[in-house]
Amino acid sequence: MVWPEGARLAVSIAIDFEEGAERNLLEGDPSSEAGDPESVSEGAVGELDVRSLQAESIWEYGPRAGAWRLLRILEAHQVPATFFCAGQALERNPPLADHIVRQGHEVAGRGYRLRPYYPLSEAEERADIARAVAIIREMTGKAPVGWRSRAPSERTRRLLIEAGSFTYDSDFAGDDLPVREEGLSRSFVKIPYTVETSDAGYWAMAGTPGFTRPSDFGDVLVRTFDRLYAESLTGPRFMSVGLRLRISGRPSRAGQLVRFVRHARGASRVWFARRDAIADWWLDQTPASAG
Amino acid sequence: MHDARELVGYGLDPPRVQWPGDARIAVSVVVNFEEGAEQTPLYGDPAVDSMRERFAVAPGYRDLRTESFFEYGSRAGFWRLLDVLDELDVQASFFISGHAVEENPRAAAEITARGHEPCGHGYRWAPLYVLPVDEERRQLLLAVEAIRKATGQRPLGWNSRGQSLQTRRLLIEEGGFVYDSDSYSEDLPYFVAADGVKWLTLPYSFETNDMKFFRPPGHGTPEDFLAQLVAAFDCLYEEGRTHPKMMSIGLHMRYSGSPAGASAVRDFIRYARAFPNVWFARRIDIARWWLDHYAYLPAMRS
Repeated sequence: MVWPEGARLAVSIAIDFEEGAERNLLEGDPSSEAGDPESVSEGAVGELDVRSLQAESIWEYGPRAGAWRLLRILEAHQVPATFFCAGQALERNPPLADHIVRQGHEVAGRGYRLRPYYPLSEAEERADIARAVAIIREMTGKAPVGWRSRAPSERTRRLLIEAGSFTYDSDFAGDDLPVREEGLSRSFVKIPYTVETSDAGYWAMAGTPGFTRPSDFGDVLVRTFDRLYAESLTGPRFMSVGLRLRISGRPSRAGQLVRFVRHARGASRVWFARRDAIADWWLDQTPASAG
Repeated sequence: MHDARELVGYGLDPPRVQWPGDARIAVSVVVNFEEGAEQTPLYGDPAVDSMRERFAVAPGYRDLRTESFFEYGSRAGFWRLLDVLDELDVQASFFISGHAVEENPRAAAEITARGHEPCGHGYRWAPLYVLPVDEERRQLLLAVEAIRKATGQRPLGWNSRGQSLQTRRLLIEEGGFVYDSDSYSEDLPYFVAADGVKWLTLPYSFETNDMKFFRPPGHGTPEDFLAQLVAAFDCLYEEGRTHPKMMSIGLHMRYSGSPAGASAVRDFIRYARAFPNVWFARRIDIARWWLDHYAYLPAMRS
Protein backbone atom coordinates (compact mmCIF):
# COMPACT_ATOMS: atom_id res chain seq x y z
CA MET A 1 0.00 0.00 0.00
CA VAL A 2 0.93 3.63 -0.23
CA TRP A 3 -0.39 6.71 1.51
CA PRO A 4 -2.84 9.03 -0.27
CA GLU A 5 -1.67 10.46 -3.58
CA GLY A 6 1.17 8.01 -3.75
CA ALA A 7 2.98 9.36 -0.72
CA ARG A 8 5.71 7.18 0.77
CA LEU A 9 6.08 8.79 4.17
CA ALA A 10 3.32 10.10 6.41
CA VAL A 11 4.40 12.71 8.96
CA SER A 12 2.26 13.58 11.97
CA ILE A 13 2.97 16.65 14.06
CA ALA A 14 1.40 15.96 17.46
CA ILE A 15 1.18 18.85 19.90
CA ASP A 16 0.11 18.47 23.51
CA PHE A 17 -2.10 21.25 24.81
CA GLU A 18 -2.27 20.42 28.48
CA GLU A 19 -1.17 23.48 30.44
CA GLY A 20 -3.79 24.51 32.95
CA ALA A 21 -4.88 20.91 33.52
CA GLU A 22 -1.79 19.81 35.42
CA ARG A 23 -1.74 18.80 39.07
CA ASN A 24 -2.24 21.81 41.31
CA LEU A 25 -3.20 22.30 44.95
CA LEU A 26 -5.56 24.99 43.66
CA GLU A 27 -7.61 22.20 42.07
CA GLY A 28 -7.72 20.16 45.24
CA ASP A 29 -4.91 17.87 44.12
CA PRO A 30 -2.62 16.52 46.85
CA SER A 31 0.41 18.23 45.26
CA SER A 32 1.41 20.72 42.59
CA GLU A 33 3.25 19.74 39.45
CA ALA A 34 6.76 20.82 38.73
CA GLY A 35 7.84 18.02 36.47
CA ASP A 36 9.63 20.05 33.88
CA PRO A 37 13.30 20.92 33.71
CA GLU A 38 12.71 24.57 33.63
CA SER A 39 10.66 24.17 36.78
CA VAL A 40 12.62 21.39 38.38
CA SER A 41 15.22 24.07 38.57
CA GLU A 42 15.38 26.96 40.97
CA GLY A 43 12.64 27.26 43.47
CA ALA A 44 10.25 24.76 41.99
CA VAL A 45 8.38 22.99 44.69
CA GLY A 46 7.94 19.57 43.18
CA GLU A 47 5.94 17.32 45.37
CA LEU A 48 5.71 19.47 48.47
CA ASP A 49 2.31 20.61 49.67
CA VAL A 50 2.93 24.19 48.55
CA ARG A 51 1.95 25.78 45.25
CA SER A 52 4.84 26.71 43.02
CA LEU A 53 3.92 29.94 41.28
CA GLN A 54 7.19 29.67 39.42
CA ALA A 55 6.34 26.29 37.95
CA GLU A 56 2.77 27.40 37.21
CA SER A 57 4.10 30.42 35.35
CA ILE A 58 6.49 28.30 33.30
CA TRP A 59 3.57 26.08 32.27
CA GLU A 60 1.37 29.09 31.52
CA TYR A 61 3.85 30.29 28.93
CA GLY A 62 2.67 27.41 26.72
CA PRO A 63 -0.89 28.52 25.95
CA ARG A 64 -0.19 32.23 26.47
CA ALA A 65 2.79 32.62 24.14
CA GLY A 66 4.26 29.36 22.85
CA ALA A 67 1.08 28.07 21.22
CA TRP A 68 0.74 31.08 18.98
CA ARG A 69 4.31 30.84 17.81
CA LEU A 70 3.83 27.18 16.82
CA LEU A 71 0.49 27.95 15.15
CA ARG A 72 2.08 30.70 13.07
CA ILE A 73 4.75 28.27 11.90
CA LEU A 74 2.20 25.60 10.99
CA GLU A 75 0.13 28.18 9.14
CA ALA A 76 3.09 29.60 7.25
CA HIS A 77 4.06 26.13 6.03
CA GLN A 78 0.51 24.84 5.56
CA VAL A 79 1.05 21.87 7.86
CA PRO A 80 -1.99 20.29 9.53
CA ALA A 81 -1.35 18.98 13.03
CA THR A 82 -3.04 17.00 15.76
CA PHE A 83 -3.48 18.75 19.11
CA PHE A 84 -3.90 16.39 22.04
CA CYS A 85 -5.92 18.63 24.34
CA ALA A 86 -6.69 18.22 28.01
CA GLY A 87 -10.30 19.24 28.58
CA GLN A 88 -9.54 21.59 31.42
CA ALA A 89 -6.81 23.33 29.41
CA LEU A 90 -9.28 23.90 26.55
CA GLU A 91 -11.92 25.25 28.92
CA ARG A 92 -9.47 27.81 30.19
CA ASN A 93 -8.41 29.10 26.79
CA PRO A 94 -11.37 29.33 24.41
CA PRO A 95 -9.57 31.70 21.99
CA LEU A 96 -6.79 29.18 21.52
CA ALA A 97 -9.24 26.31 21.12
CA ASP A 98 -11.14 28.25 18.46
CA HIS A 99 -7.98 29.14 16.60
CA ILE A 100 -6.74 25.55 16.51
CA VAL A 101 -10.01 24.45 14.92
CA ARG A 102 -10.25 27.42 12.55
CA GLN A 103 -6.76 26.72 11.28
CA GLY A 104 -7.77 23.20 10.34
CA HIS A 105 -6.00 21.18 13.00
CA GLU A 106 -7.38 18.13 14.74
CA VAL A 107 -8.46 18.35 18.36
CA ALA A 108 -7.89 14.99 20.00
CA GLY A 109 -8.27 13.95 23.63
CA ARG A 110 -5.76 13.92 26.45
CA GLY A 111 -7.98 13.47 29.50
CA TYR A 112 -9.94 16.13 31.31
CA ARG A 113 -7.17 16.66 33.85
CA LEU A 114 -3.58 15.91 32.91
CA ARG A 115 -3.02 12.88 35.10
CA PRO A 116 -2.02 9.25 34.81
CA TYR A 117 -4.90 6.86 34.45
CA TYR A 118 -3.33 3.74 35.91
CA PRO A 119 -4.00 4.65 39.57
CA LEU A 120 -7.65 5.56 38.94
CA SER A 121 -10.65 3.31 39.48
CA GLU A 122 -12.49 2.26 36.35
CA ALA A 123 -15.38 4.57 37.21
CA GLU A 124 -13.05 7.55 37.70
CA GLU A 125 -11.24 6.86 34.47
CA ARG A 126 -14.47 6.45 32.50
CA ALA A 127 -15.80 9.70 33.95
CA ASP A 128 -12.62 11.59 33.08
CA ILE A 129 -12.73 10.34 29.49
CA ALA A 130 -16.42 11.23 29.21
CA ARG A 131 -15.82 14.72 30.53
CA ALA A 132 -12.94 15.27 28.11
CA VAL A 133 -15.07 14.10 25.19
CA ALA A 134 -17.98 16.32 26.23
CA ILE A 135 -15.80 19.43 26.46
CA ILE A 136 -14.16 18.82 23.10
CA ARG A 137 -17.57 18.29 21.52
CA GLU A 138 -18.90 21.44 23.15
CA MET A 139 -15.94 23.62 22.24
CA THR A 140 -15.15 22.32 18.76
CA GLY A 141 -18.53 21.01 17.62
CA LYS A 142 -17.17 17.51 17.14
CA ALA A 143 -16.32 14.61 19.42
CA PRO A 144 -12.66 13.56 19.30
CA VAL A 145 -11.70 10.46 17.33
CA GLY A 146 -8.14 10.30 18.68
CA TRP A 147 -6.60 10.05 22.12
CA ARG A 148 -3.27 10.13 23.89
CA SER A 149 -3.18 9.45 27.64
CA ARG A 150 -0.67 10.96 29.97
CA ALA A 151 -0.16 7.39 31.13
CA PRO A 152 -2.76 4.79 30.22
CA SER A 153 -4.17 2.06 32.41
CA GLU A 154 -4.70 -1.50 31.27
CA ARG A 155 -8.31 -0.64 30.46
CA THR A 156 -7.92 2.75 28.79
CA ARG A 157 -8.23 1.41 25.25
CA ARG A 158 -11.35 -0.56 26.12
CA LEU A 159 -12.92 2.50 27.73
CA LEU A 160 -12.10 4.61 24.67
CA ILE A 161 -13.77 2.07 22.41
CA GLU A 162 -16.81 1.97 24.70
CA ALA A 163 -16.97 5.77 24.62
CA GLY A 164 -17.95 5.44 20.98
CA SER A 165 -16.33 8.26 19.04
CA PHE A 166 -12.74 7.02 18.88
CA THR A 167 -11.01 5.39 15.94
CA TYR A 168 -7.45 5.57 17.24
CA ASP A 169 -5.22 6.16 20.20
CA SER A 170 -1.55 7.06 20.44
CA ASP A 171 -0.83 5.22 23.68
CA PHE A 172 1.53 3.11 21.67
CA ALA A 173 5.18 3.20 20.75
CA GLY A 174 5.68 -0.43 19.81
CA ASP A 175 6.16 -0.17 16.06
CA ASP A 176 7.12 2.13 13.20
CA LEU A 177 3.69 1.91 11.61
CA PRO A 178 0.09 2.11 12.78
CA VAL A 179 -1.33 -1.20 13.95
CA ARG A 180 -4.97 -2.20 13.61
CA GLU A 181 -6.52 -3.63 16.76
CA GLU A 182 -8.06 -6.98 15.94
CA GLY A 183 -11.09 -8.68 17.41
CA LEU A 184 -13.00 -5.57 18.33
CA SER A 185 -16.60 -4.69 17.73
CA ARG A 186 -15.45 -1.62 15.80
CA SER A 187 -12.46 -0.51 13.76
CA PHE A 188 -9.66 0.91 15.83
CA VAL A 189 -6.00 1.59 15.14
CA LYS A 190 -3.00 2.37 17.32
CA ILE A 191 -0.88 5.19 15.87
CA PRO A 192 2.62 5.37 17.35
CA TYR A 193 3.77 8.31 19.45
CA THR A 194 7.55 8.27 19.55
CA VAL A 195 9.38 9.73 22.53
CA GLU A 196 12.68 9.86 20.68
CA THR A 197 11.25 12.26 18.12
CA SER A 198 9.41 14.35 20.69
CA ASP A 199 10.73 17.36 22.55
CA ALA A 200 10.99 15.29 25.74
CA GLY A 201 14.75 15.33 25.32
CA TYR A 202 14.71 18.96 26.39
CA TRP A 203 13.16 18.22 29.72
CA ALA A 204 11.59 14.93 30.65
CA MET A 205 14.50 12.66 31.17
CA ALA A 206 16.21 14.27 34.12
CA GLY A 207 19.30 12.33 34.96
CA THR A 208 19.96 11.54 31.31
CA PRO A 209 22.00 13.86 29.13
CA GLY A 210 19.10 14.92 26.92
CA PHE A 211 19.39 17.73 24.43
CA THR A 212 22.07 20.24 25.27
CA ARG A 213 21.08 22.78 22.63
CA PRO A 214 18.01 23.32 20.42
CA SER A 215 19.57 21.92 17.26
CA ASP A 216 19.95 18.53 18.99
CA PHE A 217 16.20 18.02 18.59
CA GLY A 218 16.29 19.11 14.97
CA ASP A 219 19.18 16.72 14.36
CA VAL A 220 17.12 13.80 15.66
CA LEU A 221 14.15 14.81 13.52
CA VAL A 222 16.17 15.24 10.34
CA ARG A 223 18.06 12.00 10.86
CA THR A 224 14.82 10.11 11.55
CA PHE A 225 13.18 11.60 8.49
CA ASP A 226 16.08 10.77 6.20
CA ARG A 227 16.29 7.16 7.37
CA LEU A 228 12.53 6.58 7.14
CA TYR A 229 12.41 8.24 3.75
CA ALA A 230 15.12 5.91 2.47
CA GLU A 231 13.27 2.92 3.91
CA SER A 232 10.03 4.07 2.34
CA LEU A 233 11.31 2.90 -1.06
CA THR A 234 10.26 -0.58 0.06
CA GLY A 235 6.97 0.30 1.76
CA PRO A 236 5.07 3.07 3.50
CA ARG A 237 6.58 4.67 6.55
CA PHE A 238 5.22 6.82 9.35
CA MET A 239 6.93 9.50 11.45
CA SER A 240 5.63 11.02 14.68
CA VAL A 241 6.87 14.42 15.84
CA GLY A 242 5.83 15.34 19.39
CA LEU A 243 5.80 18.91 20.67
CA ARG A 244 4.65 20.69 23.80
CA LEU A 245 3.52 24.30 23.91
CA ARG A 246 5.64 25.26 26.91
CA ILE A 247 8.73 23.51 25.58
CA SER A 248 8.90 23.76 21.79
CA GLY A 249 6.93 27.00 21.84
CA ARG A 250 9.87 28.79 23.47
CA PRO A 251 11.83 31.15 21.21
CA SER A 252 15.05 29.14 21.22
CA ARG A 253 13.31 25.92 20.19
CA ALA A 254 10.52 26.84 17.79
CA GLY A 255 13.05 27.20 14.99
CA GLN A 256 13.65 23.45 15.02
CA LEU A 257 10.09 22.88 13.82
CA VAL A 258 10.73 25.30 10.97
CA ARG A 259 13.98 23.55 10.16
CA PHE A 260 12.33 20.13 10.12
CA VAL A 261 9.33 21.16 8.05
CA ARG A 262 11.53 22.85 5.47
CA HIS A 263 13.70 19.74 5.30
CA ALA A 264 10.73 17.43 4.85
CA ARG A 265 9.08 19.74 2.32
CA GLY A 266 12.20 19.39 0.23
CA ALA A 267 11.35 15.75 -0.46
CA SER A 268 8.57 14.55 -2.73
CA ARG A 269 5.82 12.12 -1.77
CA VAL A 270 5.67 13.18 1.87
CA TRP A 271 2.23 13.43 3.41
CA PHE A 272 1.86 15.80 6.38
CA ALA A 273 -1.36 14.62 7.94
CA ARG A 274 -3.58 14.81 10.97
CA ARG A 275 -3.79 11.56 12.87
CA ASP A 276 -7.49 11.17 12.23
CA ALA A 277 -6.78 11.13 8.49
CA ILE A 278 -3.96 8.64 9.00
CA ALA A 279 -6.29 6.44 11.06
CA ASP A 280 -9.02 6.54 8.42
CA TRP A 281 -6.61 5.72 5.63
CA TRP A 282 -5.00 2.90 7.55
CA LEU A 283 -8.32 1.32 8.49
CA ASP A 284 -9.50 1.65 4.90
CA GLN A 285 -6.37 0.08 3.44
CA THR A 286 -5.87 -2.73 5.93
CA PRO A 287 -9.08 -4.73 6.22
CA ALA A 288 -9.71 -6.53 9.46
CA SER A 289 -8.69 -10.17 9.33
CA ALA A 290 -11.62 -12.53 8.90
CA GLY A 291 -13.20 -14.14 11.93
CA MET B 1 -4.35 37.11 44.59
CA HIS B 2 -3.29 33.86 42.92
CA ASP B 3 -6.69 32.24 43.43
CA ALA B 4 -7.23 31.96 39.67
CA ARG B 5 -4.65 31.32 36.98
CA GLU B 6 -4.15 33.30 33.78
CA LEU B 7 -3.86 30.91 30.87
CA VAL B 8 -4.88 33.22 28.01
CA GLY B 9 -2.56 36.20 28.44
CA TYR B 10 -1.70 38.25 25.38
CA GLY B 11 -2.50 35.23 23.23
CA LEU B 12 -3.25 35.95 19.58
CA ASP B 13 -2.96 39.70 19.92
CA PRO B 14 0.12 40.85 21.81
CA PRO B 15 0.55 44.64 21.74
CA ARG B 16 2.65 46.02 18.90
CA VAL B 17 5.31 47.50 21.08
CA GLN B 18 7.48 50.36 19.98
CA TRP B 19 10.77 50.29 21.86
CA PRO B 20 13.16 53.26 21.95
CA GLY B 21 14.91 53.82 18.62
CA ASP B 22 12.39 51.52 16.94
CA ALA B 23 14.27 48.54 18.33
CA ARG B 24 13.05 45.14 17.15
CA ILE B 25 14.03 43.53 20.45
CA ALA B 26 14.79 44.60 24.01
CA VAL B 27 17.54 42.46 25.50
CA SER B 28 17.90 42.36 29.28
CA VAL B 29 21.10 40.86 30.61
CA VAL B 30 20.64 39.71 34.19
CA VAL B 31 23.56 38.84 36.44
CA ASN B 32 22.62 36.97 39.59
CA PHE B 33 24.70 38.09 42.59
CA GLU B 34 23.87 35.48 45.18
CA GLU B 35 27.19 33.92 46.12
CA GLY B 36 27.77 34.20 49.84
CA ALA B 37 24.05 34.12 50.55
CA GLU B 38 23.55 30.45 49.75
CA GLN B 39 22.68 27.89 52.38
CA THR B 40 25.47 26.57 54.53
CA PRO B 41 25.72 25.26 58.09
CA LEU B 42 28.00 28.25 58.73
CA TYR B 43 24.86 30.40 58.78
CA GLY B 44 22.88 27.89 60.80
CA ASP B 45 21.25 26.20 57.81
CA PRO B 46 20.69 22.46 58.17
CA ALA B 47 22.70 21.62 55.06
CA VAL B 48 24.68 23.04 52.22
CA ASP B 49 22.56 24.42 49.39
CA SER B 50 20.50 21.62 47.97
CA MET B 51 21.06 22.56 44.35
CA ARG B 52 24.09 20.29 44.14
CA GLU B 53 26.14 22.86 42.33
CA ARG B 54 29.37 20.95 42.42
CA PHE B 55 29.89 18.51 45.23
CA ALA B 56 27.98 17.02 48.10
CA VAL B 57 28.71 16.20 51.68
CA ALA B 58 26.53 14.68 54.37
CA PRO B 59 23.87 17.00 55.80
CA GLY B 60 25.03 19.10 58.71
CA TYR B 61 28.64 19.40 57.58
CA ARG B 62 30.12 22.41 55.92
CA ASP B 63 31.12 21.78 52.35
CA LEU B 64 34.21 23.86 51.83
CA ARG B 65 34.59 22.79 48.22
CA THR B 66 31.10 24.03 47.34
CA GLU B 67 31.60 27.20 49.36
CA SER B 68 34.76 27.82 47.41
CA PHE B 69 32.96 27.19 44.14
CA PHE B 70 30.40 29.84 45.08
CA GLU B 71 33.13 32.20 46.26
CA TYR B 72 34.69 32.11 42.82
CA GLY B 73 31.64 33.92 41.48
CA SER B 74 31.90 36.80 43.90
CA ARG B 75 35.69 37.02 43.87
CA ALA B 76 36.67 36.43 40.23
CA GLY B 77 33.65 35.84 38.02
CA PHE B 78 31.99 39.12 38.95
CA TRP B 79 34.93 41.19 37.75
CA ARG B 80 35.30 39.29 34.50
CA LEU B 81 31.62 39.76 33.66
CA LEU B 82 31.85 43.45 34.52
CA ASP B 83 34.74 43.74 32.07
CA VAL B 84 32.77 42.05 29.31
CA LEU B 85 29.75 44.29 29.94
CA ASP B 86 31.98 47.38 29.96
CA GLU B 87 33.82 46.37 26.82
CA LEU B 88 30.58 45.92 24.91
CA ASP B 89 28.79 48.84 26.55
CA VAL B 90 25.93 46.79 28.00
CA GLN B 91 24.15 47.83 31.17
CA ALA B 92 22.76 44.90 33.08
CA SER B 93 20.40 44.24 35.96
CA PHE B 94 21.90 42.47 38.95
CA PHE B 95 19.58 40.18 40.94
CA ILE B 96 21.17 40.61 44.34
CA SER B 97 20.76 38.55 47.49
CA GLY B 98 21.25 41.02 50.32
CA HIS B 99 23.68 38.99 52.32
CA ALA B 100 25.88 38.40 49.29
CA VAL B 101 26.63 42.11 48.93
CA GLU B 102 27.08 42.50 52.68
CA GLU B 103 29.91 40.01 52.25
CA ASN B 104 31.41 41.88 49.26
CA PRO B 105 30.63 45.62 49.50
CA ARG B 106 33.47 46.57 47.16
CA ALA B 107 31.96 44.59 44.30
CA ALA B 108 28.50 45.89 45.22
CA ALA B 109 29.60 49.51 44.91
CA GLU B 110 31.02 48.79 41.47
CA ILE B 111 27.63 47.59 40.19
CA THR B 112 26.07 51.03 40.47
CA ALA B 113 29.30 52.91 39.76
CA ARG B 114 29.32 51.33 36.31
CA GLY B 115 25.68 52.08 35.63
CA HIS B 116 24.13 48.69 36.25
CA GLU B 117 20.85 48.21 38.08
CA PRO B 118 20.61 46.59 41.51
CA CYS B 119 17.47 44.43 41.95
CA GLY B 120 16.33 42.42 44.95
CA HIS B 121 16.78 38.63 44.99
CA GLY B 122 16.09 37.80 48.62
CA TYR B 123 18.24 38.38 51.63
CA ARG B 124 19.51 34.84 51.77
CA TRP B 125 19.61 32.92 48.51
CA ALA B 126 16.89 30.45 49.42
CA PRO B 127 13.31 29.66 48.39
CA LEU B 128 10.73 32.06 49.79
CA TYR B 129 7.73 29.76 49.66
CA VAL B 130 8.82 27.91 52.80
CA LEU B 131 8.89 31.06 54.95
CA PRO B 132 6.09 32.22 57.25
CA VAL B 133 4.79 35.57 56.03
CA ASP B 134 6.30 37.58 58.88
CA GLU B 135 9.70 36.06 58.25
CA GLU B 136 9.41 36.66 54.52
CA ARG B 137 8.54 40.30 55.18
CA ARG B 138 11.47 40.64 57.57
CA GLN B 139 13.90 39.20 55.02
CA LEU B 140 12.50 41.37 52.23
CA LEU B 141 13.18 44.50 54.27
CA LEU B 142 16.64 43.21 55.19
CA ALA B 143 17.39 42.66 51.49
CA VAL B 144 16.28 46.17 50.52
CA GLU B 145 18.40 47.70 53.25
CA ALA B 146 21.49 45.59 52.52
CA ILE B 147 21.34 46.44 48.82
CA ARG B 148 20.78 50.13 49.49
CA LYS B 149 23.70 50.22 51.88
CA ALA B 150 26.10 48.28 49.67
CA THR B 151 25.26 49.75 46.26
CA GLY B 152 23.98 53.19 47.22
CA GLN B 153 20.63 52.56 45.51
CA ARG B 154 17.51 50.81 46.69
CA PRO B 155 16.25 48.03 44.43
CA LEU B 156 13.28 48.97 42.23
CA GLY B 157 12.85 45.48 40.81
CA TRP B 158 12.65 42.05 42.37
CA ASN B 159 13.07 38.41 41.42
CA SER B 160 12.45 35.62 43.91
CA ARG B 161 14.06 32.30 44.26
CA GLY B 162 10.77 30.41 44.58
CA GLN B 163 8.21 33.14 45.18
CA SER B 164 5.47 32.46 47.69
CA LEU B 165 1.78 33.27 47.47
CA GLN B 166 2.56 36.41 49.51
CA THR B 167 5.65 37.74 47.75
CA ARG B 168 3.92 40.13 45.37
CA ARG B 169 1.72 41.47 48.16
CA LEU B 170 4.78 42.10 50.32
CA LEU B 171 6.55 43.93 47.48
CA ILE B 172 3.54 46.21 47.03
CA GLU B 173 3.26 46.72 50.77
CA GLU B 174 6.94 47.69 51.04
CA GLY B 175 6.10 50.56 48.73
CA GLY B 176 9.33 51.31 46.89
CA PHE B 177 9.32 48.73 44.11
CA VAL B 178 8.41 49.55 40.52
CA TYR B 179 8.17 46.01 39.14
CA ASP B 180 8.92 42.37 39.77
CA SER B 181 10.30 39.61 37.56
CA ASP B 182 8.44 36.72 39.15
CA SER B 183 6.84 35.61 35.89
CA TYR B 184 7.95 33.21 33.20
CA SER B 185 4.82 33.21 31.10
CA GLU B 186 5.13 35.89 28.41
CA ASP B 187 7.66 37.40 26.01
CA LEU B 188 6.64 40.92 27.02
CA PRO B 189 6.07 42.86 30.23
CA TYR B 190 2.48 42.88 31.45
CA PHE B 191 0.30 44.18 34.24
CA VAL B 192 -1.30 41.99 36.87
CA ALA B 193 -4.16 42.83 39.16
CA ALA B 194 -2.68 42.45 42.62
CA ASP B 195 -4.34 43.64 45.82
CA GLY B 196 -6.29 46.30 43.98
CA VAL B 197 -3.10 47.58 42.34
CA LYS B 198 -2.15 47.40 38.67
CA TRP B 199 1.26 45.87 39.10
CA LEU B 200 3.99 45.51 36.51
CA THR B 201 5.88 42.27 35.95
CA LEU B 202 8.76 41.75 33.51
CA PRO B 203 9.02 38.03 32.73
CA TYR B 204 12.35 36.36 33.35
CA SER B 205 13.54 33.14 31.71
CA PHE B 206 15.03 29.80 32.66
CA GLU B 207 15.27 28.94 28.98
CA THR B 208 18.08 31.34 28.19
CA ASN B 209 19.84 30.96 31.50
CA ASP B 210 23.26 29.58 32.30
CA MET B 211 21.85 27.54 35.18
CA LYS B 212 21.26 24.89 32.55
CA PHE B 213 24.95 24.07 32.86
CA PHE B 214 24.01 22.50 36.19
CA ARG B 215 20.64 20.88 35.59
CA PRO B 216 20.14 17.95 33.26
CA PRO B 217 19.15 18.11 30.52
CA GLY B 218 21.18 21.24 30.11
CA HIS B 219 24.19 22.65 28.41
CA GLY B 220 27.34 20.62 28.06
CA THR B 221 29.61 23.36 26.78
CA PRO B 222 29.66 27.16 26.46
CA GLU B 223 28.94 26.63 22.76
CA ASP B 224 25.65 25.00 23.77
CA PHE B 225 24.68 28.03 25.83
CA LEU B 226 25.73 30.35 23.03
CA ALA B 227 23.65 28.32 20.55
CA GLN B 228 20.64 28.54 22.87
CA LEU B 229 20.97 32.32 23.18
CA VAL B 230 21.46 32.81 19.45
CA ALA B 231 18.44 30.63 18.63
CA ALA B 232 16.21 32.59 20.99
CA PHE B 233 17.53 35.92 19.74
CA ASP B 234 17.03 34.97 16.08
CA CYS B 235 13.43 33.93 16.72
CA LEU B 236 12.50 37.04 18.68
CA TYR B 237 14.38 39.39 16.34
CA GLU B 238 12.48 37.94 13.40
CA GLU B 239 9.17 38.31 15.23
CA GLY B 240 10.23 41.85 16.05
CA ARG B 241 9.63 42.86 12.43
CA THR B 242 5.99 43.27 13.40
CA HIS B 243 5.86 42.54 17.14
CA PRO B 244 8.96 43.58 19.08
CA LYS B 245 9.53 41.43 22.15
CA MET B 246 11.77 41.25 25.19
CA MET B 247 14.53 38.70 25.78
CA SER B 248 15.96 37.93 29.22
CA ILE B 249 19.36 36.34 29.64
CA GLY B 250 20.14 34.89 33.05
CA LEU B 251 23.78 34.73 34.10
CA HIS B 252 25.43 33.59 37.30
CA MET B 253 28.85 34.80 38.30
CA ARG B 254 30.01 31.33 39.35
CA TYR B 255 29.04 29.87 35.94
CA SER B 256 29.32 32.59 33.30
CA GLY B 257 32.07 34.34 35.20
CA SER B 258 34.45 31.54 34.31
CA PRO B 259 36.83 32.24 31.44
CA ALA B 260 34.99 29.89 29.07
CA GLY B 261 31.57 31.01 30.23
CA ALA B 262 32.37 34.71 29.93
CA SER B 263 33.76 34.22 26.48
CA ALA B 264 30.46 32.68 25.33
CA VAL B 265 28.54 35.59 26.84
CA ARG B 266 30.86 37.99 25.04
CA ASP B 267 30.34 36.13 21.76
CA PHE B 268 26.59 36.37 22.15
CA ILE B 269 26.58 40.08 22.88
CA ARG B 270 28.85 40.71 19.90
CA TYR B 271 26.54 38.60 17.76
CA ALA B 272 23.46 40.55 18.83
CA ARG B 273 25.26 43.89 18.56
CA ALA B 274 25.92 43.20 14.90
CA PHE B 275 22.19 43.58 14.15
CA PRO B 276 20.56 46.98 13.82
CA ASN B 277 17.75 48.03 16.13
CA VAL B 278 18.71 45.98 19.18
CA TRP B 279 18.08 47.64 22.53
CA PHE B 280 20.22 46.30 25.36
CA ALA B 281 18.49 47.67 28.41
CA ARG B 282 18.35 47.41 32.14
CA ARG B 283 15.07 46.06 33.39
CA ILE B 284 14.21 49.32 35.12
CA ASP B 285 14.57 51.13 31.78
CA ILE B 286 12.22 48.64 30.15
CA ALA B 287 9.82 48.99 33.10
CA ARG B 288 9.79 52.77 32.90
CA TRP B 289 9.29 52.68 29.13
CA TRP B 290 6.37 50.33 29.66
CA LEU B 291 4.80 52.51 32.33
CA ASP B 292 5.23 55.60 30.16
CA HIS B 293 3.77 54.08 26.99
CA TYR B 294 1.63 51.06 27.84
CA ALA B 295 -0.06 51.94 31.10
CA TYR B 296 -3.40 51.67 29.28
CA LEU B 297 -3.06 47.91 28.83
CA PRO B 298 -5.42 45.91 31.04
CA ALA B 299 -4.23 43.94 34.05
CA MET B 300 -4.19 40.14 33.87
CA ARG B 301 -4.96 37.73 36.68
CA SER B 302 -1.40 36.53 37.09
